[in-house]
Amino acid sequence: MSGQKVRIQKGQVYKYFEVPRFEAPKLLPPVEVEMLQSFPKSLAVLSDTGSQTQQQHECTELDVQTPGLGQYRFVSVDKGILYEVFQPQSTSKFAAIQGIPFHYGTTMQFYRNQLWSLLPEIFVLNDESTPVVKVTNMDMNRVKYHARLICFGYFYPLRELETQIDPKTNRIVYKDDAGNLRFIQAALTVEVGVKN
Amino acid sequence: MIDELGSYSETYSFIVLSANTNFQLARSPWPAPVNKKMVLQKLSVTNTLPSSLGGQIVIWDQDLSNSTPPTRGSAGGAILTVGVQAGSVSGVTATTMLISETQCPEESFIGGLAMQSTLVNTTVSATFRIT
Repeated sequence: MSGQKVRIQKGQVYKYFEVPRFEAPKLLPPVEVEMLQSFPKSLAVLSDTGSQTQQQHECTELDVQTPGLGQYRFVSVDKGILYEVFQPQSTSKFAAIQGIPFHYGTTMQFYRNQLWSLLPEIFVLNDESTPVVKVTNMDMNRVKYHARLICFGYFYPLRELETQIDPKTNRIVYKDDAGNLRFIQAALTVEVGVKN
Repeated sequence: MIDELGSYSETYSFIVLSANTNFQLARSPWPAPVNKKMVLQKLSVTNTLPSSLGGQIVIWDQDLSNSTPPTRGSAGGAILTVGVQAGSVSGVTATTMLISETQCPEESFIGGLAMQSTLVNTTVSATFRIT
Protein backbone atom coordinates (compact mmCIF):
# COMPACT_ATOMS: atom_id res chain seq x y z
CA MET A 1 0.00 0.00 0.00
CA SER A 2 1.12 3.59 -0.51
CA GLY A 3 3.34 4.88 2.27
CA GLN A 4 4.52 1.39 3.22
CA LYS A 5 8.16 1.37 4.35
CA VAL A 6 10.28 -1.42 2.93
CA ARG A 7 13.72 -2.45 4.08
CA ILE A 8 15.43 -4.21 1.18
CA GLN A 9 18.29 -6.48 2.05
CA LYS A 10 20.64 -7.08 -0.85
CA GLY A 11 23.39 -9.40 0.22
CA GLN A 12 24.75 -7.84 3.41
CA VAL A 13 23.70 -4.32 2.47
CA TYR A 14 20.29 -2.82 3.07
CA LYS A 15 18.42 0.33 2.17
CA TYR A 16 15.09 1.76 3.18
CA PHE A 17 12.40 2.61 0.67
CA GLU A 18 8.76 3.56 0.72
CA VAL A 19 5.94 3.14 -1.73
CA PRO A 20 5.29 6.79 -2.71
CA ARG A 21 1.89 8.19 -1.82
CA PHE A 22 1.36 9.26 -5.43
CA GLU A 23 1.98 5.71 -6.69
CA ALA A 24 0.25 2.40 -6.18
CA PRO A 25 1.27 -1.25 -6.53
CA LYS A 26 0.51 -2.70 -9.95
CA LEU A 27 -0.27 -6.17 -11.17
CA LEU A 28 2.50 -7.95 -13.07
CA PRO A 29 0.43 -10.02 -15.50
CA PRO A 30 1.57 -13.57 -16.24
CA VAL A 31 4.69 -13.76 -18.39
CA GLU A 32 5.84 -17.01 -19.95
CA VAL A 33 9.60 -17.45 -19.72
CA GLU A 34 11.40 -20.13 -21.75
CA MET A 35 14.47 -21.52 -19.99
CA LEU A 36 16.03 -23.33 -22.96
CA GLN A 37 18.60 -21.78 -25.24
CA SER A 38 18.10 -20.67 -28.83
CA PHE A 39 16.95 -23.05 -31.57
CA PRO A 40 17.44 -25.96 -31.90
CA LYS A 41 16.66 -25.95 -28.24
CA SER A 42 16.47 -29.25 -26.45
CA LEU A 43 17.22 -30.55 -23.00
CA ALA A 44 19.07 -33.87 -22.80
CA VAL A 45 17.34 -36.84 -21.17
CA LEU A 46 17.74 -37.66 -17.50
CA SER A 47 20.92 -39.68 -17.13
CA ASP A 48 21.42 -42.77 -14.99
CA THR A 49 25.21 -42.28 -14.89
CA GLY A 50 27.32 -39.27 -13.97
CA SER A 51 26.00 -35.77 -13.50
CA GLN A 52 22.87 -34.44 -15.12
CA THR A 53 22.95 -32.14 -18.13
CA GLN A 54 21.39 -28.86 -17.08
CA GLN A 55 20.63 -25.65 -18.88
CA GLN A 56 20.24 -22.29 -17.26
CA HIS A 57 18.60 -19.02 -18.14
CA GLU A 58 19.13 -15.55 -16.70
CA CYS A 59 15.58 -14.26 -16.45
CA THR A 60 15.96 -10.64 -17.52
CA GLU A 61 12.26 -10.90 -18.46
CA LEU A 62 11.57 -10.46 -14.75
CA ASP A 63 13.52 -7.22 -14.29
CA VAL A 64 11.29 -4.32 -13.24
CA GLN A 65 11.33 -0.57 -13.70
CA THR A 66 13.69 1.50 -11.56
CA PRO A 67 13.10 2.23 -8.75
CA GLY A 68 10.81 -0.65 -7.96
CA LEU A 69 10.36 -4.02 -6.38
CA GLY A 70 8.90 -7.01 -8.22
CA GLN A 71 7.22 -9.87 -6.39
CA TYR A 72 6.88 -13.01 -8.52
CA ARG A 73 5.38 -16.45 -8.08
CA PHE A 74 6.25 -19.35 -10.36
CA VAL A 75 4.13 -22.04 -11.99
CA SER A 76 5.61 -24.69 -14.25
CA VAL A 77 3.93 -24.97 -17.65
CA ASP A 78 5.81 -28.00 -18.95
CA LYS A 79 5.64 -31.42 -17.38
CA GLY A 80 8.80 -33.33 -16.58
CA ILE A 81 11.12 -30.37 -16.01
CA LEU A 82 12.88 -29.75 -12.71
CA TYR A 83 13.49 -26.05 -11.96
CA GLU A 84 15.97 -24.59 -9.48
CA VAL A 85 16.06 -20.85 -8.80
CA PHE A 86 19.29 -19.03 -7.99
CA GLN A 87 19.74 -15.38 -7.10
CA PRO A 88 22.53 -14.67 -7.85
CA GLN A 89 23.77 -17.58 -9.92
CA SER A 90 25.73 -19.18 -7.07
CA THR A 91 23.09 -18.88 -4.36
CA SER A 92 20.06 -21.11 -4.31
CA LYS A 93 16.78 -19.63 -3.20
CA PHE A 94 14.33 -20.91 -0.61
CA ALA A 95 16.80 -21.23 2.29
CA ALA A 96 18.10 -24.73 1.61
CA ILE A 97 21.79 -25.33 0.92
CA GLN A 98 21.14 -27.58 -2.05
CA GLY A 99 18.26 -25.53 -3.38
CA ILE A 100 14.68 -26.74 -3.49
CA PRO A 101 13.75 -27.83 -6.97
CA PHE A 102 10.14 -27.64 -8.07
CA HIS A 103 8.20 -28.91 -11.07
CA TYR A 104 4.75 -29.15 -12.63
CA GLY A 105 3.50 -31.59 -10.00
CA THR A 106 4.45 -29.31 -7.11
CA THR A 107 3.14 -26.03 -8.54
CA MET A 108 0.21 -26.54 -10.90
CA GLN A 109 -2.08 -28.08 -8.32
CA PHE A 110 -1.49 -25.18 -5.91
CA TYR A 111 -2.17 -22.75 -8.76
CA ARG A 112 -5.42 -24.49 -9.71
CA ASN A 113 -6.58 -24.47 -6.11
CA GLN A 114 -5.59 -20.82 -5.70
CA LEU A 115 -3.11 -21.62 -2.95
CA TRP A 116 -0.80 -18.81 -4.08
CA SER A 117 1.19 -18.78 -0.86
CA LEU A 118 2.48 -22.30 -1.54
CA LEU A 119 4.00 -21.36 -4.89
CA PRO A 120 7.74 -20.55 -5.13
CA GLU A 121 8.18 -16.80 -4.65
CA ILE A 122 11.02 -14.39 -5.26
CA PHE A 123 11.56 -10.62 -5.13
CA VAL A 124 13.59 -8.64 -7.64
CA LEU A 125 14.90 -5.10 -7.17
CA ASN A 126 15.01 -3.01 -10.37
CA ASP A 127 17.30 -4.86 -12.79
CA GLU A 128 19.90 -5.51 -10.12
CA SER A 129 18.88 -8.96 -8.87
CA THR A 130 17.98 -10.96 -11.96
CA PRO A 131 17.22 -14.57 -11.01
CA VAL A 132 18.86 -17.50 -12.77
CA VAL A 133 16.82 -20.68 -13.30
CA LYS A 134 18.51 -24.04 -13.90
CA VAL A 135 16.48 -26.81 -15.54
CA THR A 136 16.91 -30.58 -15.60
CA ASN A 137 14.97 -33.08 -17.70
CA MET A 138 13.00 -35.51 -15.50
CA ASP A 139 12.41 -37.89 -18.39
CA MET A 140 14.77 -40.77 -19.25
CA ASN A 141 13.06 -41.51 -22.56
CA ARG A 142 13.04 -38.33 -24.61
CA VAL A 143 14.59 -34.90 -24.83
CA LYS A 144 12.44 -31.89 -23.97
CA TYR A 145 11.95 -28.95 -26.27
CA HIS A 146 10.29 -26.61 -23.79
CA ALA A 147 10.99 -25.67 -20.20
CA ARG A 148 8.67 -22.79 -19.43
CA LEU A 149 7.61 -21.01 -16.29
CA ILE A 150 4.62 -18.71 -15.90
CA CYS A 151 5.67 -15.85 -13.63
CA PHE A 152 3.16 -13.40 -12.19
CA GLY A 153 2.88 -11.08 -9.25
CA TYR A 154 3.01 -7.41 -8.24
CA PHE A 155 5.19 -4.40 -8.88
CA TYR A 156 5.75 -1.94 -6.06
CA PRO A 157 7.11 1.46 -7.16
CA LEU A 158 9.65 2.72 -4.63
CA ARG A 159 11.25 5.93 -3.41
CA GLU A 160 14.54 5.62 -1.58
CA LEU A 161 14.58 7.16 1.87
CA GLU A 162 17.58 9.18 2.98
CA THR A 163 18.41 7.59 6.28
CA GLN A 164 20.83 8.43 9.04
CA ILE A 165 21.47 7.45 12.63
CA ASP A 166 19.92 9.84 15.12
CA PRO A 167 22.80 10.62 17.50
CA LYS A 168 20.47 11.08 20.48
CA THR A 169 18.63 7.79 20.23
CA ASN A 170 20.92 5.72 17.97
CA ARG A 171 17.86 4.83 15.91
CA ILE A 172 17.54 4.99 12.15
CA VAL A 173 15.65 8.07 11.00
CA TYR A 174 14.72 9.56 7.64
CA LYS A 175 13.85 13.00 6.38
CA ASP A 176 10.23 13.43 5.38
CA ASP A 177 9.02 15.78 2.64
CA ALA A 178 9.03 18.70 5.06
CA GLY A 179 12.63 18.02 6.09
CA ASN A 180 11.74 16.66 9.52
CA LEU A 181 13.57 13.63 10.91
CA ARG A 182 11.24 10.71 11.57
CA PHE A 183 11.73 7.26 12.99
CA ILE A 184 11.15 4.37 10.64
CA GLN A 185 8.46 2.20 12.08
CA ALA A 186 7.00 -1.08 10.91
CA ALA A 187 9.19 -1.62 7.86
CA LEU A 188 8.66 -4.76 5.85
CA THR A 189 11.96 -6.54 5.18
CA VAL A 190 12.44 -8.11 1.76
CA GLU A 191 15.55 -10.01 0.70
CA VAL A 192 16.77 -9.93 -2.87
CA GLY A 193 19.88 -11.43 -4.42
CA VAL A 194 22.67 -9.38 -5.95
CA LYS A 195 23.48 -9.11 -9.65
CA ASN A 196 25.45 -12.02 -11.11
CA MET B 1 -6.96 -37.87 -14.68
CA ILE B 2 -6.24 -36.92 -11.08
CA ASP B 3 -2.93 -35.15 -10.61
CA GLU B 4 -1.96 -35.93 -7.05
CA LEU B 5 0.42 -33.51 -5.35
CA GLY B 6 3.92 -33.97 -6.74
CA SER B 7 2.78 -36.00 -9.72
CA TYR B 8 2.09 -35.38 -13.39
CA SER B 9 1.14 -37.52 -16.39
CA GLU B 10 3.21 -38.64 -19.38
CA THR B 11 2.29 -40.78 -22.39
CA TYR B 12 4.70 -43.03 -24.27
CA SER B 13 4.17 -45.00 -27.48
CA PHE B 14 6.02 -47.82 -29.13
CA ILE B 15 5.73 -50.05 -32.23
CA VAL B 16 6.79 -53.65 -31.71
CA LEU B 17 9.36 -54.44 -34.41
CA SER B 18 9.77 -58.16 -33.76
CA ALA B 19 7.65 -60.71 -31.97
CA ASN B 20 8.57 -62.33 -28.67
CA THR B 21 11.46 -59.94 -28.03
CA ASN B 22 12.02 -57.71 -24.99
CA PHE B 23 11.19 -54.05 -25.55
CA GLN B 24 11.22 -51.03 -23.29
CA LEU B 25 8.14 -48.86 -23.64
CA ALA B 26 9.48 -46.34 -21.12
CA ARG B 27 12.06 -46.12 -18.35
CA SER B 28 10.95 -44.73 -15.02
CA PRO B 29 12.78 -41.58 -13.88
CA TRP B 30 14.40 -43.36 -10.93
CA PRO B 31 17.86 -41.64 -10.91
CA ALA B 32 18.62 -38.67 -8.64
CA PRO B 33 17.56 -35.93 -8.42
CA VAL B 34 14.15 -37.07 -9.70
CA ASN B 35 13.59 -40.42 -7.91
CA LYS B 36 10.11 -41.12 -9.18
CA LYS B 37 8.13 -44.13 -10.34
CA MET B 38 5.45 -44.55 -12.99
CA VAL B 39 1.90 -45.70 -12.28
CA LEU B 40 -0.07 -47.07 -15.22
CA GLN B 41 -3.29 -45.16 -15.93
CA LYS B 42 -4.36 -46.01 -19.48
CA LEU B 43 -3.31 -48.48 -22.14
CA SER B 44 -3.98 -48.67 -25.85
CA VAL B 45 -2.86 -51.64 -27.96
CA THR B 46 -3.44 -51.75 -31.72
CA ASN B 47 -2.89 -54.80 -33.90
CA THR B 48 -2.02 -53.64 -37.41
CA LEU B 49 -0.96 -57.04 -38.68
CA PRO B 50 -3.10 -57.88 -41.76
CA SER B 51 -3.89 -61.42 -40.75
CA SER B 52 -6.49 -63.30 -38.82
CA LEU B 53 -4.09 -63.91 -35.94
CA GLY B 54 -4.77 -62.61 -32.48
CA GLY B 55 -2.09 -62.37 -29.85
CA GLN B 56 -1.10 -60.94 -26.53
CA ILE B 57 1.35 -58.57 -24.94
CA VAL B 58 2.98 -59.24 -21.61
CA ILE B 59 4.16 -56.45 -19.34
CA TRP B 60 6.54 -56.38 -16.40
CA ASP B 61 8.59 -53.88 -14.37
CA GLN B 62 12.21 -53.63 -15.45
CA ASP B 63 14.74 -51.10 -16.71
CA LEU B 64 16.31 -53.07 -19.53
CA SER B 65 19.25 -50.64 -19.74
CA ASN B 66 20.29 -50.62 -16.09
CA SER B 67 20.20 -53.28 -13.41
CA THR B 68 20.20 -50.85 -10.47
CA PRO B 69 16.44 -50.47 -9.95
CA PRO B 70 14.54 -53.53 -8.73
CA THR B 71 12.77 -55.79 -11.19
CA ARG B 72 9.27 -57.19 -10.78
CA GLY B 73 8.09 -59.89 -13.13
CA SER B 74 9.55 -61.15 -16.39
CA ALA B 75 8.46 -62.23 -19.85
CA GLY B 76 7.49 -65.58 -18.41
CA GLY B 77 5.92 -64.15 -15.28
CA ALA B 78 4.19 -60.98 -16.41
CA ILE B 79 2.40 -58.65 -14.01
CA LEU B 80 -0.07 -57.70 -16.73
CA THR B 81 -1.16 -59.57 -19.86
CA VAL B 82 -3.36 -57.97 -22.49
CA GLY B 83 -5.10 -59.92 -25.22
CA VAL B 84 -4.96 -58.52 -28.74
CA GLN B 85 -7.72 -59.29 -31.21
CA ALA B 86 -6.99 -60.29 -34.78
CA GLY B 87 -6.27 -57.31 -37.00
CA SER B 88 -7.96 -58.52 -40.16
CA VAL B 89 -11.40 -59.97 -39.62
CA SER B 90 -14.61 -59.14 -41.43
CA GLY B 91 -12.97 -56.40 -43.47
CA VAL B 92 -11.47 -54.68 -40.41
CA THR B 93 -7.79 -53.91 -41.05
CA ALA B 94 -6.78 -53.05 -37.51
CA THR B 95 -8.18 -53.57 -34.03
CA THR B 96 -7.53 -51.53 -30.94
CA MET B 97 -7.82 -52.62 -27.33
CA LEU B 98 -8.38 -49.67 -24.98
CA ILE B 99 -8.08 -49.97 -21.23
CA SER B 100 -9.40 -46.76 -19.76
CA GLU B 101 -8.51 -45.05 -16.52
CA THR B 102 -11.41 -46.61 -14.65
CA GLN B 103 -10.50 -50.11 -15.84
CA CYS B 104 -6.73 -50.05 -15.76
CA PRO B 105 -4.88 -51.77 -12.91
CA GLU B 106 -2.74 -49.10 -11.22
CA GLU B 107 0.47 -51.05 -11.52
CA SER B 108 3.63 -49.28 -10.36
CA PHE B 109 6.82 -49.41 -12.40
CA ILE B 110 9.98 -48.65 -10.43
CA GLY B 111 12.43 -49.46 -13.22
CA GLY B 112 10.29 -49.07 -16.29
CA LEU B 113 7.69 -50.80 -18.41
CA ALA B 114 9.22 -53.75 -20.26
CA MET B 115 7.14 -55.81 -22.64
CA GLN B 116 6.89 -58.50 -25.27
CA SER B 117 4.29 -59.03 -27.97
CA THR B 118 3.47 -62.22 -29.79
CA LEU B 119 2.65 -60.12 -32.87
CA VAL B 120 4.91 -57.83 -34.86
CA ASN B 121 3.71 -54.28 -35.71
CA THR B 122 1.64 -54.01 -32.54
CA THR B 123 1.40 -50.38 -31.46
CA VAL B 124 1.34 -49.79 -27.71
CA SER B 125 0.58 -46.46 -26.08
CA ALA B 126 0.46 -46.03 -22.32
CA THR B 127 -0.31 -43.09 -20.06
CA PHE B 128 1.38 -43.00 -16.67
CA ARG B 129 1.16 -40.88 -13.58
CA ILE B 130 4.75 -39.99 -12.69
CA THR B 131 4.74 -39.90 -8.92
